[in-house]
Amino acid sequence: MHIPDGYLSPVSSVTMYAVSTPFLIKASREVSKRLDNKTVPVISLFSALSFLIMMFNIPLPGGTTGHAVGATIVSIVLGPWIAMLSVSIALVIQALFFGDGGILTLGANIFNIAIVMSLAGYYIYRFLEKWAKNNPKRKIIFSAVAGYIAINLAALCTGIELGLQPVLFQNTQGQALYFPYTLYVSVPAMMIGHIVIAGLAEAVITGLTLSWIFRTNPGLIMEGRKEKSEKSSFLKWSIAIIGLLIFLSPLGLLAPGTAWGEWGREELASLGLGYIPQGFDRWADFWKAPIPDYDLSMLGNPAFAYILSGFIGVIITVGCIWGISYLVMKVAHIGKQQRNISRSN
Amino acid sequence: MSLLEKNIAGLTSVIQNSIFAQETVRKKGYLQSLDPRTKLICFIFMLFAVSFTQDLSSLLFLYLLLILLAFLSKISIRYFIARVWLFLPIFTGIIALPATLNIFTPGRMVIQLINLPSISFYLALTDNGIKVALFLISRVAVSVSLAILLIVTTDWINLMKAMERLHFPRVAILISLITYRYIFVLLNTANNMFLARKSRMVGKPVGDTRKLWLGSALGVLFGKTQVLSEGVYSAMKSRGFNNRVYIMSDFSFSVADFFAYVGTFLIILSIFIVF
Repeated sequence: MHIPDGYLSPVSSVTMYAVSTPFLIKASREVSKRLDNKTVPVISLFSALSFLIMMFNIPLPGGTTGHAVGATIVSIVLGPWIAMLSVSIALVIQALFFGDGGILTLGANIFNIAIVMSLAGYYIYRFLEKWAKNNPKRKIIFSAVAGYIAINLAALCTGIELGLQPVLFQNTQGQALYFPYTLYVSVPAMMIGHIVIAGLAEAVITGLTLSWIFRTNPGLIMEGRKEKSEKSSFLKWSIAIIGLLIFLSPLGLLAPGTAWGEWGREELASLGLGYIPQGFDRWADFWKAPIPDYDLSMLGNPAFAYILSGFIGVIITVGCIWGISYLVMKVAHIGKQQRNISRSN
Repeated sequence: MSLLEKNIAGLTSVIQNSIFAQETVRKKGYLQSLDPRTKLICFIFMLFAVSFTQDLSSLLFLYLLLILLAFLSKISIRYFIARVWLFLPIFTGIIALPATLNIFTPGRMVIQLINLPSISFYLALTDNGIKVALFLISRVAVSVSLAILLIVTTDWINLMKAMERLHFPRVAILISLITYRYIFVLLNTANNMFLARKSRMVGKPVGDTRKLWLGSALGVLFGKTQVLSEGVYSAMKSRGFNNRVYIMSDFSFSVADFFAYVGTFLIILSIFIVF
């Protein structure tokens, strides 16, 4: 899955570095918060271990062997942030010392292999773990499933990055300069190998190692005692992302035309339809929006007005969803209480 | 080859490769004499140039130049060429091959391979396709050759120190240095485990035992890694480690470095102006 140099354009390579960096910064903050002075030795040693796991040949059903990444087992046992950093360092050493995987493409490789796999493996396992009910056999199966899905997600990201190359980067004669196949080829090609071979290798290695740890050394597992702050930090992140989206919303002003299917009467006429459907004409003015075309023109600045109307829209939407879910929960709660009362009677 | 043998061979080849790299690092060639910082900076600029160029002949020119550099640095040319071209066709070659066909890259037909007029289907190599495949292969070959030149002429420790001088985060450098050391410790441990297993085996493994054994081996390695990291932590602490990282280096800028920068600049300029 390691993308060598030459497959990605320099622009995509630099972009992937930029995408990976905030994750690594967040990871190093989380890790040093938890490990303090031990950060350096723990990350160093587990980087060496991830490097080693990537070298192993793993037996697969049918007599073949395959390579796994091992990010899932490390993230289940030690948490996603330690796994992310360890696998990243292992990838750096692979690229810089053994020439395995590109150096310009290192940002992309870190994103696909270290970041996507650690986070996906960890959260999928945590999600499934609820149904394990402390049954170790189920936990082992779920860990294997998490490993299988995580490596396939990583392969999907790789396929997408590669498949975008011929679309975005061509020379003047329209010839692809880097990876030559579009998404229709690159994604299935990446996925088949991972669904059939590498996914199984990751599943096998994750399940077997976890089963050994359960049997003989359960003290190894540092994760699982979930910190309380996790949920609130998730909320913080979601709010930050929604906020970012609101601020980016004036980009919509740059786009020519209207979203497909969201035409007004004038736009419908200009589409060359020749006539305006009768029903459309009758209902078009039925509802006058309080902020027509997101334009609070009395504020002067269109970008600011756009942001403000976006903000008002988000508040109204969130408010409605909260209101509806509050009502639903209330009704359900009342229903439950009544049932309990009737049962106790 | 059995699984155990495969794993033993794989792990041993990593150790072998790194010992080989150590040998070439100690030779007194041209690239070995340069300051690691110079090498790193010129290397990154060259890598970008390789990545940006839109001309095939410039890639060929660069490759010939790299062979010359390898020769000047006393690297065996056979090794330098073989290390790239033994593996490249297996991975990138297979990926690039279908791109030459008209179904993936339309263009002027060069050689017709299959022609079935009854269902109006034909398979042919196209001029565009060949060019696209050559782009991919030559770009990858030149990038990999560049990386190999850097790797086999620079000590890992010096490379890391150079990165630290160029203001890469110190903690990351320290971690990489320790990791590199312990990769070999763990490689040895794992190899010994495989050898111990192999020496106790008579006949073929039955059923799922080899899978189970590999799981246990990894579990044991997990535990050993944990114990080792505690040990390394205590060792660091007892030597006064207080989370501050100092890395000593005694690099000096020489005339050769100056010429290396000028040379790199001229090469990159020629790539974008001449070609």
